[in-house]
Amino acid sequence: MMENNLVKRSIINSMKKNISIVLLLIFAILGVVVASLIPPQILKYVIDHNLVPKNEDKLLTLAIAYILVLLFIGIFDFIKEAVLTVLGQKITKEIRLEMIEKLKKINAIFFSSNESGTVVSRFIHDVEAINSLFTNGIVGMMIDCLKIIGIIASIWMFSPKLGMVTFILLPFIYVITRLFQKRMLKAQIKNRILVGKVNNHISESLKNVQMIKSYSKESYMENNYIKYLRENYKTVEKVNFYDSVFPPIIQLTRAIVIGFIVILSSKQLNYLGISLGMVAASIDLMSNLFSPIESLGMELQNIQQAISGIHRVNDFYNEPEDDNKNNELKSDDIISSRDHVKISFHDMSFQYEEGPAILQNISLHLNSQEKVTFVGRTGVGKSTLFRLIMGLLKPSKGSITINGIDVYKIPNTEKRKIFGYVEQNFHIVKGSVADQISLQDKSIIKEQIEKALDFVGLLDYVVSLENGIDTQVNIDAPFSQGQKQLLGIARAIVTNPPILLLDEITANLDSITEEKIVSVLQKASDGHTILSISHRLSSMLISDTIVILENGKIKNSGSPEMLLQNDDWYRNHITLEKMTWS
Amino acid sequence: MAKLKIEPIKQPNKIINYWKKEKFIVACIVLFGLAFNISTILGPIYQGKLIDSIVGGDSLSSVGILVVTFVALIGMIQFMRYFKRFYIRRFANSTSATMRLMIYNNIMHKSTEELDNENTGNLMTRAISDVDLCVEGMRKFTTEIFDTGVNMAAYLISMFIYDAKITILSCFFIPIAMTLAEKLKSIIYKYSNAYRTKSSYIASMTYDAIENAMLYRANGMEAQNIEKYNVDLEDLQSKAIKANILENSMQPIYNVIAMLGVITVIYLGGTKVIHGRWTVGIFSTYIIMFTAMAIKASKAAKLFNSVQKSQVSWKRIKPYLTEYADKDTALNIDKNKTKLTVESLNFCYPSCKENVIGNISFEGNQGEIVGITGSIASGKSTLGLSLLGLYPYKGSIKIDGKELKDYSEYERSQMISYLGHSPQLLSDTIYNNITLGVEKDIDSVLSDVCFDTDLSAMPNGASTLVGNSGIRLSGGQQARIALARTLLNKSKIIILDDPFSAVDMKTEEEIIKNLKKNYKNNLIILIAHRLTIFNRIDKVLLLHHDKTADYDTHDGLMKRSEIYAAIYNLQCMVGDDDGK
Repeated sequence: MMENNLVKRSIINSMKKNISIVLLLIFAILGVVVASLIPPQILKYVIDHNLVPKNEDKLLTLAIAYILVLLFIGIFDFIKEAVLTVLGQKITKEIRLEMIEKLKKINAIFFSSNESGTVVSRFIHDVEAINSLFTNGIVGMMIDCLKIIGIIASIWMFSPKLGMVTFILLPFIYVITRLFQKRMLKAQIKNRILVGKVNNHISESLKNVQMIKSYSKESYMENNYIKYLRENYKTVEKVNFYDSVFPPIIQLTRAIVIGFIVILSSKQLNYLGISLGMVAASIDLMSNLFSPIESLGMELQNIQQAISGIHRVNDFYNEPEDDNKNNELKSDDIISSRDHVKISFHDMSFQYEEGPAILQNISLHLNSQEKVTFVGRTGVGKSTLFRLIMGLLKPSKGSITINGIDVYKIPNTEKRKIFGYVEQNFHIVKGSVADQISLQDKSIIKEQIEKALDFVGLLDYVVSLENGIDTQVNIDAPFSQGQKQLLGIARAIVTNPPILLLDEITANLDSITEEKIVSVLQKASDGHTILSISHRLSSMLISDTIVILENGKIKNSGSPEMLLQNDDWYRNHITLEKMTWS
Repeated sequence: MAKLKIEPIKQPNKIINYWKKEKFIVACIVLFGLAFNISTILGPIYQGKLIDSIVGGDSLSSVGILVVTFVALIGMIQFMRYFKRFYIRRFANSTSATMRLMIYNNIMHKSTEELDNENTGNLMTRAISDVDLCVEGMRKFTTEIFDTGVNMAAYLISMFIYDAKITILSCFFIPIAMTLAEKLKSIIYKYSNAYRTKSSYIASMTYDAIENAMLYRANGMEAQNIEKYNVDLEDLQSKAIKANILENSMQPIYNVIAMLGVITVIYLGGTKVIHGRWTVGIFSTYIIMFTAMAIKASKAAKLFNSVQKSQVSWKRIKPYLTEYADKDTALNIDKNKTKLTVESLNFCYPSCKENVIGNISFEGNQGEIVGITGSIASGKSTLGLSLLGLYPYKGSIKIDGKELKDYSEYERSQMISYLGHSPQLLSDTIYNNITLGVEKDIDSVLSDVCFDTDLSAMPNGASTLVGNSGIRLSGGQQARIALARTLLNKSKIIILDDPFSAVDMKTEEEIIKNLKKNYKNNLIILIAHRLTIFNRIDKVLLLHHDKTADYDTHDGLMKRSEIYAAIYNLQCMVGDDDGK
C-alpha cells in the first residue's frame, strides 16, 4: 500500500463521521438478506400445511404475511439504497475536498507537466469510479456473499444433503460465470481500442479537412472510415455473442439443477427425504442463487477496473508540495514604500526535475521603479523566470529577493499586493466581468474594479453591456482579443501593486490594438517597477534596461542605446522588425 | 459469419428506415422474439408439472421423462432467446455503423466555410457519441416490444385460462404500479436534471481551478476558492442524494405495489387447491407467472427513461443525417500547358468584412517558379489560399483562360496541389500519407524532397507509421512528407506556403534545385518570408502592407525595391536564425 493512501483514509473517515448511517446501512443490509429468505419459507408452509393436507386454516393470514414480508423487503431495500447513496456521496465529497486542498499546496511544476483535462478527470471521473467501487463494488459484494450464505443455509435446514449439493455446485457456477465474464471483458477491451480508432478518424478528418478537400480525397477517407467501422463491427459482434449466449446458458443450468432436485425427491427415490413444500421452496431458492453469483463476478471485475482510478487519485495526492511559507510576512512590511523596491537575483539557477537547466546563474540587481525587458527566442525560460520572481517556483540554486526577503517564502495571499501579473494569454475565469478583475476576491470593492476598468479604457464599453460589470464572460463574448489583454492589465493593477510583470502581452495582436495597449502601459509605468518579456523588440515599452537571454543565461544586458552599439544580433533584428518582416 | 456490408441508406433522417434497411435481421428478431416470448410460458407450466409428478408419486421413469422434457424445452426456449438477443444486438451494431457512415459523409461534404466555424468540429464529435445513445434506445425499444409486450400478453392469457377471476383481481395493481412509475417520471427527471446540471457545473469549476491554478495562486485566491468549492460540493451532495434516491430506490416500492395482488393469488389459489380444482403444481406455476409479470411492470419506469433519452439524442443527430453525397468526378482540363492569370483579385474571409488582399494582378506559366513574399500580415498566405478556389473571391483568377470558379471542385483539386503551413499528416504509413490511396511509385518524389536518406534509416521504410499528426517524425521530416504528397501528382499548379520553415537551408537549396529540374511542366507558386533562395526563382510578387504589390524578377526587385534589397541582404547575413 501507498504511504499516504487518501482513498482508504477518506472512506474510513467518512464512515467514522457518519457512524449512525453506517449502522443503519448494516441493519438494512441484514434486513434485506434475512427478509428475502422468508417468502419461500411461507410458500413451503402453505404447501405443507394447507395445500397438501387440504386445510384452509390461516390461509388468508399467510397470504397477508407474504405480502407484508415483501413490503419489508421493499422498505429495507429502499433504506439500503438510500443510505448507500448518502454514504457514497459523503465519501466523494471528502475525497474531492482533500484533493482541492492538495491542489493549493502542490508544486507549480505539476501544472507544466500535466494537462488540465487529465487532472480534471481525476477529480471527476476517478472519484466517481471510487464511489461506485465502494457502493456497487465492495458493499454490493458483501450483500451478495450474505445472500448466497443465506440461501445455502436455508436449503441446508431443509436437507443437509441438498445443502451439500448446492455448496458443491457453487464454485462450478462461479467458474462458468467468470469464464464468460473474462472473455467478454477481453472482447470489450479490444473493442474499446477500435472505438478509439473510429472516433479518432473523425477528429483527424476534421483537423485535415483542408488537405482532404483540396486533393478531393473525401471518398478515400470515407473508405478508410468504413474499414475501421467494419473492424469495429466484428469485435462488437463478438461481444454480442457472449452477451447473448450467457443468460440462456445460466437458465439452462438452472433447469438442469431443478430437474435434478425433482428426480432426487421423487417418491420412488426419496433420497433427500423432504416434503413437497420444501421441494418447491428449494427450487425457488435455487433460482435465486444465480443472480448474486453473477453479480459477484461483475463486482469483482468492476473493482479491478476501478483500482487504477484509486491509484491515480493516490498518486495525485502524493505529488510533491511547495515548502511552507513564512506566514508572518506581510506585504506592507516587505515593501513599505514604492521608492524602495529592490529586486535581486543571486546567482539563481532553475531546472525541472531531471531535466536540462532552464536558467543558469542569473545574477541581476534591479532598482526601484526600473523598467526592464527580457528578450530572447521562445523557449529560453522567460516565462519560467516570472514564476520564479513571484515565488511560485523554487530555484534549484541561489535565490531571488525583494528588499532582502526571499520571494519563495512570501505567502500566496500577500502576493497580489506586491505583484501585478499580466499573462501572455488572458485566462478567462468562470463568472462575470467584475469577477475577471477581482477573481472574486471579497476584499476588492466595486469602485476599485471600475477604476481599473476606467484606467485601461474599457469602462464605457463594459457599462454599455446589457448587465454592465455583471455580464457573464465566455471565450467568444463579449470581448475581443485586444480587449481581453486590457482586462488582463485591469486585473493586474486593481490592487495597485508596486511591481508589474508583463509576459509577451502584445503577441498575436494587430498593430492598432498593440499601440493602444502600449499606451495604457506607458500610463501605468509611473510609480511601478515593470518587468516585461518580449520577443519582438520594436513593440516593447521604453525600457531602462534590456536583458538578452540565450540558452538560459544572460548573454548581454544594458541600456537600449548601448546594445545597439555593441550587439549584432540586437541590431539586425531591430532593423528587420522595423520593416515589419519577422 | 455475417455479411459485412456497411453502406449508405436513402432518407436517413427517417428513423423507420433503419429498421427497413435491415430486413433480414428484423425478420429474425420478429420470428425469434415471438417464438421465445410465447414459448416462455412453458417453463413455469412444466415446473408445475414436475411438482405434481412428485405429489402424484409417479414412477421414476415417468418423472425422468418429464425432467428430460422440461430440460429439453428450456434448452429450446433458451436457444431461441439466444437468437433473439443476438439479432437485436446485430441490428443495433449495423444501425450504429450506418448512422456513423452517414454522419461522416455529411461532415466531409460540408463546405469549407461551414467547417471553418470552430464549433462545428465539437458539435459533430458530440453527434457521434449521440449515435450510441440513440441506437441503444432503438435496441431497447425493439427488445421491449417483445419482452414486455408479447411476453406479458402471453402470461396474461395463460393466467386467464387457469382462472379468470383470480387473474383480474390479482393483476389489478400492476397497471397502478406502471402508472405511478410513468407519473413520477417527470419529477424524477426534474431532480436528476438538477443533479446533472450541478454536476457539470462542478466539473467546469474544477476545470477552472486547475486550468487557472497559477493565476489563482499568484493572486492568493486559492483559500477562498476552496471555501466556495466546499459549499458547492455540499449542494451537489444533497442534489445527488435526492436524484439517486428517486431514481433507484423507487423500484422496490413499485415492486411491492405490483405484487399486492399476490394476496389474492395465495388465498384464492390456495383455496382452489384445497377444494381440488387446482393442483399444487398449477398453484406454483401461477405464482411464478404472476411474480414475473409484477417484476416486468416495476421495471417499466427504466424503459420509459431510456426511450426518452434516445429521442433527445435522435433529435440532436437528425440534422447531420442527410442524403448521401458524392463528388462529381467529371474531368475537363487541359493537361498539356498551363497559364495562370490573376487580375485585380480582391479577397476577404466570409467572417470578416475587410479585404485581406486587394487588387492583385500577376501571371505565371508552366516551368516557372513564382515567389510570393511580403511583411507580416500582408496577406501572402491568404493569396495562396484564395488561388485554391475554396472561398468566394472578387476579380479574376483564370487557369488556361477559364475562370477558376467555373471549374468544378473536383477539377480544381486535380489542377492544383496545395501545401499549407501545417503538414496535415494522417496517422498512417509514410506511403499512404503520400499516395492517399492511389497505387504509385514514390521513389522519385521522395528523392525530390531529399527524404531518400531519411527513409533508408527507417527499418520499415515507406511502411513506417508516422503517428498521430506525424508525431513520430521530426518537424522537417513531416514538412518534406507533406511536400512529397503535394508533388506526387505533378499537378498543373503547385502552391507551396512556407514549406521550408522547418527545413535547414542546405536541404532547402537542394529541393529548389530538384523542383527546377524535375517539374518543368508545372507552375510552382512559392510563398515564403525567408528570401535567401529567391535569387534562384523566376519571378517574385512582393506584397506591401498598404495592399499594393510589385511583380518583377529577383534582380529587378533588388534594383527597384529598397525594402526588398534590404531584407534580402539582412536575411543572408543573419543566416538560419530568423529570430522567431
